Amino acid sequence: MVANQYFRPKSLLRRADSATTAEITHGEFRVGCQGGRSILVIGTLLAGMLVGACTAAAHAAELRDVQEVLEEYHSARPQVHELTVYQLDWTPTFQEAKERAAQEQRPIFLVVVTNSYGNIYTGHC
Amino acid sequence: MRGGPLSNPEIVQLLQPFIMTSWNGAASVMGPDIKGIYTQANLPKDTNVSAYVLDQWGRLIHAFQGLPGRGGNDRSDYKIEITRAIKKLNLPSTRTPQTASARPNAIPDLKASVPGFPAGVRLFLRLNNDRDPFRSGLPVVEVVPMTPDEWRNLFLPEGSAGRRIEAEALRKWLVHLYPAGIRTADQQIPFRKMTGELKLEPAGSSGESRYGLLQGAILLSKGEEGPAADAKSSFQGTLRAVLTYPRGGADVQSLRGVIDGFYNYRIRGDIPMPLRVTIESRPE
Repeated sequence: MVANQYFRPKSLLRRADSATTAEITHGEFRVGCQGGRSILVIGTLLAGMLVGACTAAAHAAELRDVQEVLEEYHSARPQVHELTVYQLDWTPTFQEAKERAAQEQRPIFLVVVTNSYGNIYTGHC
Repeated sequence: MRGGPLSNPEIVQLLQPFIMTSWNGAASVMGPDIKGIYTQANLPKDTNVSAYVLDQWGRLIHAFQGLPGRGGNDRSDYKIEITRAIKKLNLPSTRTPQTASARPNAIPDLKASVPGFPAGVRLFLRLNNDRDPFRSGLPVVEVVPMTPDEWRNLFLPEGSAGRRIEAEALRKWLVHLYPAGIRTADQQIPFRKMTGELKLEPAGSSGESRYGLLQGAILLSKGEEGPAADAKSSFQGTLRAVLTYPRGGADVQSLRGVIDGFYNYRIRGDIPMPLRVTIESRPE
């Protein structure tokens, strides 16, 4: 019965309403029922429900954080039109470009930047 | 130039038949292959940027100053120069140019290497400054290959309460957190000291995946310890990333995140440059 009541909070509350005595002892909400037939220890169950609710709330908050970061990521990530330079057929090194040119019978467009430490392909130049 | 003619759709269309490549460095360390072309072209040394068109055998066909623009000896109209080069190459008889729209974006990327692990991460960095729309609109793209052992720095077993990760453990990513277009003297100095502690915590689950949230403040300094460190450029910001893990497993499946902060550019005075970085594991 107690196990069933745990999953039926409304019925639990109805039982508590009918109680004649109630006290909180060491964190447990003890209810004395009419006629003194039994004492329902529902504090633990309420605490369980509270923990469950908190866990669900925390879970929702965590997923909100996840969603928020993913939205930030999507809004900050460059759009296709901002990456037009990558519609060109870049090859990282001149040596590789020469090999490909010979193999594919294609011309090479080489950009040389002197006195600069960087890379036009990545953009850190 | 990268954000100018090389991002201009008309020029991009003209350059479709070409294999693109570049070389950056001090003229004194130029290798013999590049030096041969550079010397043969013998362009005026008014600027430090030059462009060369070579045929399929690597022979020099055409050369011009690399700074875009019209007027003066140190500027070139890319459309005119590339059209000239195409005529010299007699391209239509060798190959039909592809259309820009037909070619997928060849963004720097990584191919899968070890099954079960991403090959690494890709970073898009840009200046986040409305007053500098040119550089803000042109991202730097860096890829960082990672080994399974490096990914295991970010493992998160199911049921774990989370843990702390030193910024230093992410050095391979963080070394790239500087803007484009800074002086070589500053660019050549790597970040030496990386401080900050990031929290990696479970952040719920959905379907077959669990999420982890990695977040915290980071401080990267190019200076050594002590007051002298303040004279060098630094980066200060926050990292937030979502990692996914399989249910019942602890290894990272994917990562998506953002780093926001300021690159404190200290060449002449102190110029705070806002940087926004997106980070993603590759391949998808």
